[in-house]
Amino acid sequence: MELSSLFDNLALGFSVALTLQNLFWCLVGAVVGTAIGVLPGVGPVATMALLLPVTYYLPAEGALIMLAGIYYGAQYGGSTTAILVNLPGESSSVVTCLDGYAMARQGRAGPALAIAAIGSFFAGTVATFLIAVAAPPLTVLAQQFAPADYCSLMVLGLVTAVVMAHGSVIKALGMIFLGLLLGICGTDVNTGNLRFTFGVDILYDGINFVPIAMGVFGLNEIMANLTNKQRRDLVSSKVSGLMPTVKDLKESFGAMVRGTALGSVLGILPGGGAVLASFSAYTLEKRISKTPEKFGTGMIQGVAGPESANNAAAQTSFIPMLTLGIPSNAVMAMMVGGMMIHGIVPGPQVMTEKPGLFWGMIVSMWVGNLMLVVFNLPLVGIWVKMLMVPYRLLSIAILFFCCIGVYSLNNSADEVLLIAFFGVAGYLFVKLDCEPAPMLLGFILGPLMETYLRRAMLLSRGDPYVFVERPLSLAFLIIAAVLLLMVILPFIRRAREKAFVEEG
Amino acid sequence: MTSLLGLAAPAVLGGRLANAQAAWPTKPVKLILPYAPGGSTDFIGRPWADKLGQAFGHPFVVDNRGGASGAIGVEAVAKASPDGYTFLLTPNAPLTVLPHLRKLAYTLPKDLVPVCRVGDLVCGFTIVPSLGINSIAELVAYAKKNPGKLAFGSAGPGTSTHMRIEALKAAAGIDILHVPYRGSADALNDLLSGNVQLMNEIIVIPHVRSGKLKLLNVNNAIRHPEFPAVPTLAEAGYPGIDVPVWYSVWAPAGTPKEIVAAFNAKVTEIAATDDMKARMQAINVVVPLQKPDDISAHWAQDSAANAKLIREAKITLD
Amino acid sequence: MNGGSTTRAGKQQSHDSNAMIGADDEPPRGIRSGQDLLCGAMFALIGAGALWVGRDYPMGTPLRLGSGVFPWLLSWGLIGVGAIVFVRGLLTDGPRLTGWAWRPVILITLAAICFALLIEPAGLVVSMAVLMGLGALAGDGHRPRELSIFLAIMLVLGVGIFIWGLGMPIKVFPWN
Repeated sequence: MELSSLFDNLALGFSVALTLQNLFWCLVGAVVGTAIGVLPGVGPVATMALLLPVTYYLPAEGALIMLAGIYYGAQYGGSTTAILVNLPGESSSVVTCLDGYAMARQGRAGPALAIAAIGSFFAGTVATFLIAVAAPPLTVLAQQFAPADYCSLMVLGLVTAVVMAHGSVIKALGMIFLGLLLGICGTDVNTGNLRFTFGVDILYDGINFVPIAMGVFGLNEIMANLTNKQRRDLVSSKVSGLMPTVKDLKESFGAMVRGTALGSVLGILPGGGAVLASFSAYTLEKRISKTPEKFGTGMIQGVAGPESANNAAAQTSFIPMLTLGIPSNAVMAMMVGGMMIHGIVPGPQVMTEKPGLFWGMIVSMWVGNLMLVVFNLPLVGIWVKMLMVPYRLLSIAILFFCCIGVYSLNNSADEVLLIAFFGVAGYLFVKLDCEPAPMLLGFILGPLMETYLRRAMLLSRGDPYVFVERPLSLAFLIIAAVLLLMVILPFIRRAREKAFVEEG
Repeated sequence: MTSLLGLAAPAVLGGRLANAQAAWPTKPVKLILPYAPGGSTDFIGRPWADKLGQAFGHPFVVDNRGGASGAIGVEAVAKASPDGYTFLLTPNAPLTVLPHLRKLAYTLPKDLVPVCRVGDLVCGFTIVPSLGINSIAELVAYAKKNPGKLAFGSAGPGTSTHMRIEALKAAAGIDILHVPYRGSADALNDLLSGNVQLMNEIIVIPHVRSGKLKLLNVNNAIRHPEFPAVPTLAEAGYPGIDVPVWYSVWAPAGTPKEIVAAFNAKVTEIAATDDMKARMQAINVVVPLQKPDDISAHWAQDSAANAKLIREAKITLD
Repeated sequence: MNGGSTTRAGKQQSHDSNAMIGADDEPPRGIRSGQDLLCGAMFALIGAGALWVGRDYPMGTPLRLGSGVFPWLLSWGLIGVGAIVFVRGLLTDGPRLTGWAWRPVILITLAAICFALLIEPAGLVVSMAVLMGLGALAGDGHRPRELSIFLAIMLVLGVGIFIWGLGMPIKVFPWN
C-alpha cells in the first residue's frame, strides 16, 4: 500500500473515530467490556448477543465501534480476574493465571495487573497498525493454510503445552490426553454421531470451556485456600508496590515484543488463534529464559508475553472478518451479525464501499485501547484493595460469580452441575500433582485438531503423506518434534541417573 | 435445561389457561433458536423477536439453544409446556431433513404445531473460477470426466448446504466429494483458497460480486434480481430440487389455537411495514406469508422430498 | 487415603489445620509414591473406560476417518501414560498422598449443586441465599454481623447486575 494513501486512510479513520458520538460509543463498549470481562464466566459473546438488537438503533459506525470495544475491553478485564483470583474467564487468559496469580500471592498483584494492561496496550497498538498497513497481504498469508497445515500447527500447539508444564512432563502429557478426550465429547462434526455423551442431552453439544475452567481453577482454588490458612493468608497479607518497577518493565519489554509478534500472526488464523498465541508466547518465554524453572512462581515475563499475545491476536482476528467477511471465532460472528443488522454484508467490498466505516473502526480500536489503559492503570489500586477483603468472604463472592456466570452462558442449570463436577476433579488433580493448564489446552485444541486431521485426509483422498509433503505442515511437525525432544531428553537422562543411583 | 431439571416446568395450565388467552401475552415470551448466536438464524430471528416484542408489549426473549444440528433446541420446545410462552424459530433442516437421518427425541407433526413462516433464504451453487466452469451443464460434464476430483464444502451433514448438492449429484449422476465444516463461514474460508471447489451458500454473494467466486444458479423459482443472467436450477435443467432454506415459527403441540392465530396475524402485520421489509431485504430474505395449515402442507411436502432423496442417494451421517 | 485408619479426632485436625497433616504417616510397604500410583491408575482407568464406551464408534476408512479413530488413539495414549506413571510410583520414591480436606470440598460442591437445582424453580434470591450460606459454612472464622451485611450486599449486587444490568431471563423470587 502507498504510504500517502495509508495516511489519507488513517486520517479518514480518525475523523470518524474521534467524533464525539463515536468516542462515546467506544467508551461505552470498552467500559461494558471491562466489566463483563472482570465478571468470571460472563463473556463477550453472550453480552454482544444481548446488545445486538440494541445496536439496530445506533448508526452503523457507532454500533460496530461499541461491539469491538466490548471485545477488547473483555480481554483487559479477563486478565484482571485471572491475576487476582485465579479465574480464567476466557480461554486465552488461562496462562495468565499461572504466573499472574503467583505474583498476586506474593503481594505483587499491582505490578502484574499493570504489566498486563501495558502489554495489552503495546500489543493493541502494534496490531492495529498492522491491520491498517498489511491487512490484505496478511489475508493472503492466512489462505496459504490448508487443513493439513492447521492439523500440524495444532500438534505443535499441544507440544507447547508439554513444555509449559513446570512439574512432571509425563503427567502433563496425561492431562493433555485427558483434555483432548473431554474436547471430543459431544456431536461429531463430520458425521453427527454422538460420542461420550452418556445419554445426557447437555453433553450433545460438547462441554463448554467455561464450566471446566471455572471448576478446575476457580472452585478448586477456593477449596484449597479454605483448607489451608497459610496459603490463604498469602493472598491478602502483604502488598508491595502498585506499579511495576523499572526492573519489571525492562524484564517484560522483550516478552511484550515477542508476544505481540506471535499473537499478530496466530490471530489471523481461524479457530484457536488467540489461545494458541497466549500458550505459545508463554512457552517461548519459558524456553528462552535463563531461569525456566522459575516459571509458574511469579515471573513477570509469564504475564507480559501471553497478555501481549492474546491482545494482539484479538486485534488481528478482525483481519479475515474485515477483508473476507469470514468470522474466525464466535466474537467475530457477532460482529458480522452487527454488520448484517445494518445491511452491510461483510466482505472484501466493505473497504472500498464504506471506507469511513472500515477505517473508523480500525482507528477506534486504537483509541479504545488507549482509553482502556488510561482507566485500567488507576483501577489497579482499587482491584488490589479488593484482595484486602477477608478471604472467607471473598470466597463466597467468587463462588457466586462462578455459578451465575456459568448459568448465564446458555441459561442452563445443568452447566452449573458441570462446574461442581470439575471443581471436585480439579481438587483431585491438585492432590495428584497434575496441572490443569495443559488439560485445558488439549480441551480447546482437541476438536480442532481432529476436524483438521479428518478434513486433510478427505481432501488428500486418504493419503497421509499430505502432512509431510506440504512445506508448512512439515515445518510445524519438525519444530514440534525438536521441542518435544528438548523437553524429554533431559527428563530421560535424569530418570536414568536416578535409576543408577538407586541401584548403586 | 428442563429435561434434567423437570421441576422447572411452570405449573400453570389447566383452568387458568382459558382466561389467559384473552390477554396473551402477559409476560415475556421465549423464542428459542436452535443454533449458536451469530448465524443466519439469528439474523432472521432477532429482528422478528424485536418487532414482535414491540407489537405485543412484552419482550420476546431470544434463547440460543445450539447443538446437534439444531435437534437440542427443537427438542426443548417440543417438550416445553404449551402455554403460549415458548416458541421455536428454525430453518427447515431440523424439521424436514434431520428426522430422516437420525433418531430424535421429537416427532412431527405430533410434538409441534406451525405458527407462521418468517422468511426464505435463497441460495445458489458457487464455484471457484480457476476451473473455468461457467454453468451447471459444464459442472456436470467436468464431474463426469473427473469423478471424485471435485469437492464441495457444507455447513455440516444434514444441513441445506449439504442436501441440495447431494440432490444435484443424485439427479445428474455425478460424484463430488462432500467435506463437512462447522458452519458456513468455516467452509467459505476453504472455498476461497480453493481447498474445496463448490458450495451452496448465500453468504458468498459479496465474493461473487468481487469476482472471486462464480455463481452458477439460484435455488429458487425465480432469478435473483441482482444477477439476472444467472439461471434458476430448473432452467439449468434440474427441476424439483431447488428448495430454498425456509424459516418458520413453531409452538409445542397443544398451544391454544387463539394464541397461534394472534401470533400469525401479527407477523402478517409486521411483514407489511417498510422497516421490516428493509431489514429483511438487507439480508437477502423474502417473507412468504402463510397460514398454519399451509405450513403443515409445505412441511409434509419438503419432508417427503428429503426422505426420498436420503433414501435414493443413500445419504448417511457416518 | 492414608488417613483411612486415623481416629475421628485425627481427621478433624487434618481439616482445620494445614494440609500437610498426614505426611508423617508411614506409607504401606512396597508403595514408594502413593500419589503417582493413584494418578497412574486414574489415567489408565479413564483411558480404559473411554476405550470401552467408544468400542462401537466406527473407524471409517483412511479417506473418511470415522468418529472412532481419535477416541481410540487418545484412550490408548491415556492408558500408556497411566501405566508409566503407575510403574514409576512402584519403582521410585515420590510424594505420598496427604491430608484430604473434605469439609470445604463437600460444602462448596454441594453449594454449586443446590444453586443449579434451585435457580430455575426458586429464582435468584433463594438460590443465592442457599449458595452463599453453604459457601459460608465451608469457611471459618465468620463474624455474624459482618457476614450478614456482606450477604445482603451480595444479594443486591447479584440482582442488580444480572437481572437489571444484563437482563437475564430468570426469576428474582419464587413467586415471580
